[in-house]
Amino acid sequence: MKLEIPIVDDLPLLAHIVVEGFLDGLHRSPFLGYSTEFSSYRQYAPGDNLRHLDWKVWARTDQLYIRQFEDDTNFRCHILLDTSASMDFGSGHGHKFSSARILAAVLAQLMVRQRDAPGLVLFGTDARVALPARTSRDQALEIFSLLSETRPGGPTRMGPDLDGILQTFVRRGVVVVISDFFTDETTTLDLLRRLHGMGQEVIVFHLLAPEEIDFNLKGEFIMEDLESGSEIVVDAGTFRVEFQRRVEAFCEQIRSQCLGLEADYVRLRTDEPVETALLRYLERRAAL
Amino acid sequence: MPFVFTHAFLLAALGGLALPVALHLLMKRRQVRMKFSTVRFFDPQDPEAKAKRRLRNLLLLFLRIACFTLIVLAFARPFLPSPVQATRRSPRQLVLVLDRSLSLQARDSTGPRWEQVLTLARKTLAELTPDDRVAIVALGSKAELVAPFGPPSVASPQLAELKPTHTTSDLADGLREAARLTRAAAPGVSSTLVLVSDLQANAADAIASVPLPADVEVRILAVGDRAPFNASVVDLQLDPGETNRPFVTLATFGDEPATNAALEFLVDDRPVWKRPVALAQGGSTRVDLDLPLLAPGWHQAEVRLDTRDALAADNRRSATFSVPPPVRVLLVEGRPGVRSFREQTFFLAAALDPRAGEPGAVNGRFVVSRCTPAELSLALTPRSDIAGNSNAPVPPPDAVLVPAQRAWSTDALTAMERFIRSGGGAAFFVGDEAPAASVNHALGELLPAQLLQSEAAEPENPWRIGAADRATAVFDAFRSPNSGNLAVAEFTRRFSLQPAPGSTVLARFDDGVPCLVQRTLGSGRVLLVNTTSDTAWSDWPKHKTFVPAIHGLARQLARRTDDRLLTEPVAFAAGTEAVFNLGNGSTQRLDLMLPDGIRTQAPVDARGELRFDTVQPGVHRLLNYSNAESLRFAVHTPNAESDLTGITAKQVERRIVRRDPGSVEPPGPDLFGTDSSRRELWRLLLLTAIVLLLVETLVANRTAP
Repeated sequence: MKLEIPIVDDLPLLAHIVVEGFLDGLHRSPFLGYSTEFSSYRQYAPGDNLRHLDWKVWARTDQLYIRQFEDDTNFRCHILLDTSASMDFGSGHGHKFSSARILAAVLAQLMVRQRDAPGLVLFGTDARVALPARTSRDQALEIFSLLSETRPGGPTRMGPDLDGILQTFVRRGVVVVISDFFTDETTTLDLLRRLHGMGQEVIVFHLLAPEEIDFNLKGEFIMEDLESGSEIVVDAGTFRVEFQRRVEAFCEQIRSQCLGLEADYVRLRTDEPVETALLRYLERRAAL
Repeated sequence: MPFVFTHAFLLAALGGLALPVALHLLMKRRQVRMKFSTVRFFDPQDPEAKAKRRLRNLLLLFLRIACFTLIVLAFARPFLPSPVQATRRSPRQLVLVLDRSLSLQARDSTGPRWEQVLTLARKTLAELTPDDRVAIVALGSKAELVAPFGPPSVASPQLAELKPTHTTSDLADGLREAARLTRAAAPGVSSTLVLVSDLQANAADAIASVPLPADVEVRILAVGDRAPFNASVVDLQLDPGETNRPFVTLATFGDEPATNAALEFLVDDRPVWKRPVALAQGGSTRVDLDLPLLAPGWHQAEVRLDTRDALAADNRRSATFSVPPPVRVLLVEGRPGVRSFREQTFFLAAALDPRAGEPGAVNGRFVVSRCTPAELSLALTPRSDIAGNSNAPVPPPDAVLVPAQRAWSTDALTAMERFIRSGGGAAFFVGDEAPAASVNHALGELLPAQLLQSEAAEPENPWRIGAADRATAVFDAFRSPNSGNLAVAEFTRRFSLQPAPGSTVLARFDDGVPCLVQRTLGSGRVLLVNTTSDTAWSDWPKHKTFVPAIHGLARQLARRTDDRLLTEPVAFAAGTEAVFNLGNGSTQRLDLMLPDGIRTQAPVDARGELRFDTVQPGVHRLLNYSNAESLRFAVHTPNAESDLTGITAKQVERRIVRRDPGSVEPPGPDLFGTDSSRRELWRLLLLTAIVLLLVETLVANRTAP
């Protein structure tokens, strides 16, 4: 299935089609929450809430395990969308921010369809709670509208304002981070640790434009950083292999960090239909 | 030490250097500005690598420019004077080609041309050092090496011996001989070719056919005015054919207007006339001539043009010719003593020699004598056969014309038969005086036909000549259309004839009866004319066709097939080879007397061919051992030399074709060819270009851009 809906105004329709098509054969929520029904154990990680530590298991095995519960209804899902200038990259259907918006819209539609409470947090130069998580029927439409109005720009900062927002996530839920993570490594890691420590289940959608993966350029370029504006002269032909190696290492680093914090890591090429990759992930997740 | 380029014009190709420079600029990297999501993955460009790349590009540009430049320079063939030459001028060899064609006899506004040639030649020799070597080539009808390579002091005296010839010259021959001489140049010796000539345009046509080595310096020294006025006798025709009179053709050349001229005509060195002529400027003028009656034998005619022009040698021209001896005709008169117009031979004699007996008359084509039948035996016998006769032998007649005779003596018949069998010719007419039986009885063994019976035509329907064999000398004069109507004459009496076996009917009456019958007897001929020699049986003697017919009859009997007054004149242009076929087995010694009176033995080969190169214009004579003249012929100046229009030295230089010395010279022992008089650099340049090309290929393909 490939949907060609490049314009933002079609976000509701696109989200509706994707979600309905997905849910036709699905009887379980793909998202796991922290409700009363026990689901499984997982190993303790620093930052986990000690309330969920299974002391009995610790007493028997001397191992720290966290109890997980299936939240089958009305869980909260915050979508953290990166609006920095680096997301404003990619040509045509490979534009990263367009793909991120589609991804956020589909997720919001899916939440609303399951009577869950999606919320939207935009972070870039500054962070703000665009829409708090609610189960309102109009929540999806409001998210769609907000996504349509949002434009990327500025550097990526995860400062006090984002910390303040995260403090509001008092209930356990799911946090979906949609970003290219072109920021400081420690900043990214801090964000993930904090979410993990708050008991949030984190799903990372790492978006990369094909130019950022393949780097099929030839000649000499003066590359201008979209966020910082700094310039650097690059001989693309000779640097391509090294560039690919470095990007792969960067992605692997993000992935390993996510795995270390029990976050799902999904890397998406924006020249591939985002909804397809999303559905593939959701199906895999639902099957667990 | 300055370079010298053999093909300097090829240096213009250096303008092509703009091509690699333009390509370099076009292919120069352009930095494209591009906004990228992040520059965290990029390294700042290594300044050292950038410098290397710039250095590499500059190196490639240099290599390409150097390759191109070296290739262009190699094709332009630069060379350096050898170190030896730089310190001391090496010996030089010089070939001096002197044009000595007829035109060099001309006198220009600056003086005689030949004097100018000698002056320039001596000046050239004076510039040489004692170590130099000079050869002199004299260029006439052919190139002749008059002085092989030697010191200038040895060659210089040879100049005084040289004179201009009367022949044409081809400058290409001189260049070819000079090129041959320079090929034998010693190593390290430079060659120079100096051509001294008046550069006549027609002598320079074939220059391009002789390529000269590229390393031979050529200097052209021109003498004389470029287009002086010259008048010339270009043609003398004494036997132009039956319809034309002898004539001479005069021509003028040059830009200047023709001046007054006088033309003198001489025969056998005696002036016939001299009169002024108007010469057409830049064209030809024809003047008719009249030859006087001349005695048999060789004669010469000459025309001399008296005018002021550049070249006097071509103002006269001679022609030789031979007047054949007349045909001796004996007429047998059977009515001696009667008034002349009643004589049987009156019309015959009048036709053959109308001026016979007149005072001062000159013999024409026929010499006529008469005798009676009784004198015939004596007339046919050579005088030397008569006992006691001490006078010089009198030759017998060539032909005998015999009208009808009443009777024949035995002596006359015997003499006649002996005369005919020994090669003489006799024609017998019929008439009332000789009945058929009498003629058959007396001349039956001689005549080509038997007389049968006398016939008379109806008065209103006379016989006419119907068919005649115009291939024979008898009717040769009527061969051309409208040359005479034989059928005009009317015949009223005749004999019916019975031609003898082997006889030939040369003419018939319009009813087919033979009119003229011929037979061969021994070495002679006998003709039977079926009519009278006077007007008794026909009116033919009163018609115009009678005279040429009788002339033809006499020539037929005398075996003179040619009616021309002259032998065909023989003439050659000076410088050409004269060839005469004197006949196989001609072993007698012949001497050739030249116009200047020098007598040499004629070079006759075993096949009887006389061949020799004509040099002097004028009359040449071929004499046998008894000083009898066997042949006389004329040599005239070549017409091509009369047009003195010349071209410039620059024009000649442009026509000269250079030959690549590499194609004829052996390669030198090293790249510079040290065995040459100069140090060629093209091999080194080409080799360097190839090496640089390989380096450029390596740099371009084996280094990172």
